[in-house]
Amino acid sequence: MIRNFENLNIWALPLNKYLFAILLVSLGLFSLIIAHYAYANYDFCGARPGTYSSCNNYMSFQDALAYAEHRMIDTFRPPDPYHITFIMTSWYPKVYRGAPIYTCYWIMDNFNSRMIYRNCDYNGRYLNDYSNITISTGVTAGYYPGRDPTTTLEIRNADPFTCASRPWDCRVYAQASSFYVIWP
Amino acid sequence: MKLRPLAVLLSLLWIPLVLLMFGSVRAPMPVHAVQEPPFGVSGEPLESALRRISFPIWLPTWLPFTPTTPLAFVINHPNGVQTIHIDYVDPQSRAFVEISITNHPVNTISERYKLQKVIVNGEYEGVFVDNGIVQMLSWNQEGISIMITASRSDHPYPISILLQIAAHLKRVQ
Repeated sequence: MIRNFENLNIWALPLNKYLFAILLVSLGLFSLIIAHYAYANYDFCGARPGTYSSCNNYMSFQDALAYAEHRMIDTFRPPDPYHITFIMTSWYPKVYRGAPIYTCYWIMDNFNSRMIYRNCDYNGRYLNDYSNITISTGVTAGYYPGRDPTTTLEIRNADPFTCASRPWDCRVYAQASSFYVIWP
Repeated sequence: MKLRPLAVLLSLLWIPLVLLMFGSVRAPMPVHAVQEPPFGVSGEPLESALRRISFPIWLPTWLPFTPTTPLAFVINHPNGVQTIHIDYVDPQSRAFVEISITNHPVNTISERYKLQKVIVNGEYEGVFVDNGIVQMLSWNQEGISIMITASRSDHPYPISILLQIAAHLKRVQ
């Protein structure tokens, strides 16, 4: 048996029905993995103390009222192993259909259970009107493993007037990132 | 025939490689709580939204217009933090008021607009901001945050109207 394995030429194996089925299943698994990552709207990002890092969060949504992509990049820096400072957030909208609107951006300190930051400067504004937006944040959250701070941006797929006429098509999308310190 | 198990094994060898490449299988690192993405929350009737939250809620007993049936959204943030948005709309005059309540105090910050400090209902410190599209009044009371967002097509709502809405909020649960 061992000798058979050593002399095996895998390219000469017959591609029977059984093998073909296995390959199909494998291909399906591969597609699922790719699809999951393509549409992920949350991310986990870490940095070592004293270093700057950017968290690149991509979201894509498509529904009855809108079709859009949105990238949210949060720049952060852990000043020490027990804190994370948020420097700024940048947003890159791309709207293919409809007129989604921004609402508010939040930073949650899950160590101290406090919403330390809410910025609604773009509340009610259409994503279509921007190619990019950058907001300075400048707040520090506490950190301990398992109690990661999070950032969340809420986007509505339509304005309230459209929602009033089509309430069941109206949705709020929350794009969220979670942050951790890579301990030495 | 005896080679079949080996052939099957070889055909599956690429899966761990792909998983490694796309990061599903990672080197051991600190464990972090996995956050369920709060992705795509649908609007729902106010009654059903209220059943899904367990913190105090205040609803308006007066609005500057006669609204259609309100629409509500419940957003689940990590760690049990919840926000409910309740929209009241008057499509004819293109006016709306949204009441947002979060079961945590919230610190509102603006980078581009001036925050105007106000006293809400005679006892709570609040802030008012107008971003040119909507007017917002927010404050914290009894461990929760309330924000009133209002807009109409002709001209901005003055702060007095938002304070008047705040004065007519009534606790319902």
